[in-house]
Amino acid sequence: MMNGADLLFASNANHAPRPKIINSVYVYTCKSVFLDLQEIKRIIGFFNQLKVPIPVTLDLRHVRLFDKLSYTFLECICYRTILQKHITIKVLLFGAEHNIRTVGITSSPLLLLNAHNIENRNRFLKQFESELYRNHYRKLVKAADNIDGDAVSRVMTDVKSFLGNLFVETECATMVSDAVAELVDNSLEHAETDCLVDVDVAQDYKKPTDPNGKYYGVNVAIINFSTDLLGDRIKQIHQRENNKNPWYAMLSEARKNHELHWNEQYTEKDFYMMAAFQRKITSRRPEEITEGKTTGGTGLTSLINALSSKSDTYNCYVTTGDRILQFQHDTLELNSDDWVGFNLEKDFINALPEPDLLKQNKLFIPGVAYNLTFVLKEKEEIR
Amino acid sequence: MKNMFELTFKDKSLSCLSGNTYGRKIFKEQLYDTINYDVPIHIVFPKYISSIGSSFIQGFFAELVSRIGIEGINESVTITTQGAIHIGTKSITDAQELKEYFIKCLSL
Repeated sequence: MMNGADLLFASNANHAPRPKIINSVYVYTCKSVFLDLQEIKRIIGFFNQLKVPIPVTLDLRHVRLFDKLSYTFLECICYRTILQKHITIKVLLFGAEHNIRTVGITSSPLLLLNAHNIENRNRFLKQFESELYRNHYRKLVKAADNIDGDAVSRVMTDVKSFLGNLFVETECATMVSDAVAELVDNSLEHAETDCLVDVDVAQDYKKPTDPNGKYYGVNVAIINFSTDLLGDRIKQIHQRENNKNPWYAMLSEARKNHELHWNEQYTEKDFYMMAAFQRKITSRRPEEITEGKTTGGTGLTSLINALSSKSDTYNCYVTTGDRILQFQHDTLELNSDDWVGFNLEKDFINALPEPDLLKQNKLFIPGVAYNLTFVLKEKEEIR
Repeated sequence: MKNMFELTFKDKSLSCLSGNTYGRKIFKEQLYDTINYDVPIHIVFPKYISSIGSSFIQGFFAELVSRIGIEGINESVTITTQGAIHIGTKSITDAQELKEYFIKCLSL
């Protein structure tokens, strides 16, 4: 089981029409154009209403996949439901459109759920937890299994070697594997919960702006479920530590400037979510923060570095609770303190974030989820 | 007494090191009880380690930073590798370059 997955169902109660039963099978037909997070909420609403343990068919044949995170959530829903209700689920995906950002669907364990078949169902459960095949790496990192403490190093090793085998240049493979490892570390150490990591590589793509160049995309989805939302612990520590530490004193100054502008579009939660990306603002070992001698608190900064140099700016975001923070190139430049403004002024303390970076998420995420795409131009010599 | 520590890792198939807590754990297991802070310290990474994330470095050196500071590490700690460490586009084997990278990570 994936720790905390029940929270996803509990946090997204009934939001779907009554489930239909056809020939002793519950049938859900997706009527939306996109399989996005809002549609995932409807699907959870459907599952929340199932009363009897009979098979389920999800008809998603005519849907367009919005992003990697959306179909990865669908995998989580099927995984938790199968384990809990011991039923079979059939997912009709044939015809679902994909692109460089969503091509990972072609190696998704969902493809195994193509019939009401116990054997395939069991293969799905296995593949959901772990897979390394061709362009796809998947690992459910369980906090309870991290007895030797090296689980994060294992993920970094595996992701780097996976990308290297697909001819992703060493610099990029190191940068992406390091950023992924930091996010897994945050999940295991800070939120103390399991973490699902999924990476796929989309090769041989072209950009309309550069028809002669060859590109590949490294798509990453990272999910953890927990009652801890990104920024919650930072807020608690900030309230307790206040200005005892110089970095938190800077945060107080920022808060003073920002709180005057908090409203429905920009909330206190958004402020602390963004604070989590600032150097030395960490929820790790508060006693060291007080003493001002922490050597940590740079994990998310390394993600920002990776994103600002190699990311697909329209497809990278983090979501926690009911909020989404979009990572956009021109707002990710670090200042001299390695703080990120999330604005064109590069100033988190005195300037507000760009308004279009913060959005409401209709699907409530109990925990933290990242959707990241790194688009890289292929080097001639690697092919 | 020789103040040299050849690090070993239980899982020899690991080529990358990451995680603040794991760094602290390795320091505690392999250095904490026997390290002498008053004489030069030499830390050796094994051949099979090719990448070290900043979080591991920060965790591993947390105790040293607290005892002798980053300046003290710069003065009295030597870091070598039996292989090469990938940093960006470079593959580093030189002890001085390696130390500069570690100091940079600690100063983050």
